[in-house]
Amino acid sequence: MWLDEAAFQKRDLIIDPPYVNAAGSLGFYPEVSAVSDWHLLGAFITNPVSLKARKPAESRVYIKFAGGFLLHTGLPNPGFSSVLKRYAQRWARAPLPVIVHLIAEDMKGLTQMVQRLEVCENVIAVELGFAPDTNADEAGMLIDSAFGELPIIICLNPYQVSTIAPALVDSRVSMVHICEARGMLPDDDGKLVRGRLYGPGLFPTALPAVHELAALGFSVIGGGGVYTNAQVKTLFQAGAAAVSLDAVFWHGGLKLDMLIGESIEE
Amino acid sequence: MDACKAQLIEIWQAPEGNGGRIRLDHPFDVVPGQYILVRRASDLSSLPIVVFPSSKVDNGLVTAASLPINWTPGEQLSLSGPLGHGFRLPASARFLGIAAPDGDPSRLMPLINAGIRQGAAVCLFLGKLTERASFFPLPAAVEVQPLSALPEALVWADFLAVDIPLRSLSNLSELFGLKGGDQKLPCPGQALVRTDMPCAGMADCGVCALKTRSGWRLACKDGPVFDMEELIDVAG
Repeated sequence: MWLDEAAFQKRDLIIDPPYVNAAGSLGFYPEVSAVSDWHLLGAFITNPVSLKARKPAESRVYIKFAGGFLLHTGLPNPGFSSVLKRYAQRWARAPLPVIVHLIAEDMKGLTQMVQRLEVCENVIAVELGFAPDTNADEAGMLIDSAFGELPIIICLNPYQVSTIAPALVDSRVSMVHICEARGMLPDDDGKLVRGRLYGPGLFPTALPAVHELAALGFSVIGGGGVYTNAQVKTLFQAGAAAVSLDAVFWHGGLKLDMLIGESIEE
Repeated sequence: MDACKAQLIEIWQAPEGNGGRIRLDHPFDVVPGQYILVRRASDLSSLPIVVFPSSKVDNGLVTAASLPINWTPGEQLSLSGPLGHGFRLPASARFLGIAAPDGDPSRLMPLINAGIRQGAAVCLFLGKLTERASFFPLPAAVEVQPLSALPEALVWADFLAVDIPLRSLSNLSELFGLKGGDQKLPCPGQALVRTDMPCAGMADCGVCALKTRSGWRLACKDGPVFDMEELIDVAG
């Protein structure tokens, strides 16, 4: 008997309502007290998880600039097995579906992690985060190694879109998530630090990336510098299938419906 | 995390920045050492400021000197918290040694006042004493000593507290004059560790991570007040 070719192709993934948090913005599980209106999000994306534990970076830093801030942390996490032990039950009981963000470092490790996630209740997809210097071939191989029963979302920063995305048009990727751009700033001692950028100043870099990916035919989660309802609408107009929010969650007492409520109604 | 409405009704300039008095809609209970997040009510473009209250006043609180310089009286604010773990002052403590190496005792004022309320003798050890000796209004019951005298407090204090930035934690044992194998404090002590806490516990982002005897901890969530024995000769 011939196997259906579709079994080897990408998995469909629909996020409804079409809003998520970005990896790294709300921790490893949807803590009930952290956000009052979880029902407005279609899925929860975990903090980045690596196969082995990662310590905080020696030079971890938070640097403000006009329009946002740079964060360099080293993506600390207790490692995949510990994360699973601590949070799998919480994911199963979560008020919304969970997408686990995996730091895509090596193919074998990625396969192991994805296979273990396939049996986790309420985990609906995996999201892959690539190192900043990953090229299209490496990304393709990592995606192949993560292919299993769960849909795959890949995270690309706006600078990776033109270099990586065109080669992945026919890949097994279900969605592409525009994540935070990277940049460099001097710290207090004048040492140059690279890190992830957050803040409203990033929106103009995210928007063309969404536009470009949608034109390539990808299902896109648009994100990066989303702070207003007008920006949410603009991302949908540019072709986003869903919108992600990041550091805006860190403004104590944020009422999500102020940001996305009107868009949902439409 | 719920927020409440507030209004900045007074500001003043201190050597470290602006402090202020904030009027609140409803009572706000903060344990000494806990922090709150404050932002302009209408502004989502910048992250909230981490504020340590220095005292409670009628209908509000007085902040340590950490407010942005462009905030003016009348600002409508949004407050959330209190967050983190504060000081646990033993009810039996009668002799408190409290240190502010950078010379600003404002974040420790709630602890000082709690000590006085429970009848304890409070000695405050200030760095940069000559620069700012008369700036901060201290209760008359508080004895002030230069920071260099802090090691002497180990003889008589039954509780020690210090307000210290994360980058200076490696100097903690030196601050207390602990040397060689004798690295333990003779009494309980806690440190308020100051560092940037951009996610304020929402994301475990890791910027405020510090190494303790029990492993890596987050100042925003597990602190910002830690037992001194967890930090001495370990933290950084």
